[in-house]
Amino acid sequence: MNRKQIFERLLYVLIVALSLVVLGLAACSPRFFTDNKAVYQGF
Amino acid sequence: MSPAFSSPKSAAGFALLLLLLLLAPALAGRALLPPRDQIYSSAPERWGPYAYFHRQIFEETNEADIVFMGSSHIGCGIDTPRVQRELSRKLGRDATVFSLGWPYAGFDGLYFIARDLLQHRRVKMLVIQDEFAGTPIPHFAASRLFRFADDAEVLRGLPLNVQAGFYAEAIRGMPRNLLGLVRPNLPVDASPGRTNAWEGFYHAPGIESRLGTLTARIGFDYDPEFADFTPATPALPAEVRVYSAETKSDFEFSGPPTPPAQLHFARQLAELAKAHGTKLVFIHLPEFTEMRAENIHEREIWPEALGADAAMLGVPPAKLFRGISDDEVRKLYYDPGHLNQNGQAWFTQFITPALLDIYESKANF
Repeated sequence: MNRKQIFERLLYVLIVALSLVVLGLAACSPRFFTDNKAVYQGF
Repeated sequence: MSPAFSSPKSAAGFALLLLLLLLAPALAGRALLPPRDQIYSSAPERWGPYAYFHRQIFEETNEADIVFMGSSHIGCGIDTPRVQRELSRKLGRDATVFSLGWPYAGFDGLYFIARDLLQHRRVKMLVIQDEFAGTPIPHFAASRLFRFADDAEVLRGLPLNVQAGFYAEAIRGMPRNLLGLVRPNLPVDASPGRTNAWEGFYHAPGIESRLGTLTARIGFDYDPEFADFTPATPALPAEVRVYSAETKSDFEFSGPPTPPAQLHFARQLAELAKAHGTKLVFIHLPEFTEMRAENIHEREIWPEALGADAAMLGVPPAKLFRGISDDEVRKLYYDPGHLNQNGQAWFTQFITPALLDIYESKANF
């Protein structure tokens, strides 16, 4: 593998890792992917 | 299958964007956050009367005697103008009493709003309720109320997943915060005759004119047909119980225990109240389903749970609704958890004298 290929592999690993972080945050916050308006209305 | 990215450059650009978004709350710092009052002036009206909060927290400056604060049960359960009138009569001066009520329960939301209030105004007595109603933490409005640069310290001691949840909310709030830097939020349209979403849906008189309380003029199960109703039996303020060694048999503490994250914020609130010399009072708002209960059902002995001075009071529901039929009790609520105008007036008649006694008392509860 040349340098460019190693860089590309690392880049994709980084993207997957960051995506997992996003999913982890979404799991910890009930509204990360949801519009508040759809979650709760009413006093 | 075509590749996800057309070139390594576009993949690197995407990774950088993702990284910036995820790190934005930590990178921005306080310098890139608008003043906290913008949280309240930018909150959507359907989230609650935040414009009224803005006025009470950031514009008014006089000392407040009693503030009722919390989610919907207390937000629509207290006839605040009546408490204000009776306290004024007792003190021989105009007392300052108001309510700050919002949708969605949670001690975290209560803590953040109470902190803003106490940092800007002296409050002698803060009346709150049990804010754990099974709703998840972070609070519904956490993307506005929690800002990582301001509040990271508050999260210390919480489980990692709860801290991550707040961080996620801070990420969600960043675009709004950055937008607040480039242009101010428009003031609320306060033109006469304009009704906001809450006043419209609940057929309620203006929240400002009612000192912050939502006085719902709708019937049970959100029935738009509302009929004024006052129970024929006399209101008996002597039936109110303030928790003590003598009255503890009138209370029943059946849990479930408060989740640690909620308790964390309740304790932070108690510390905050103590630091500002504010008396803390827990009030029990009766629910429709407990109308015949002989005792006041509270989940916790709050002073013990918080390790702080706090008064607790309520009315045993069987005494509050004595001589009132089930159908008549229904006329006091707009849903099983929330009092309407009839119930608000009835409950406040009972509770006010005891509240004023606590206000004047020098005792540590």
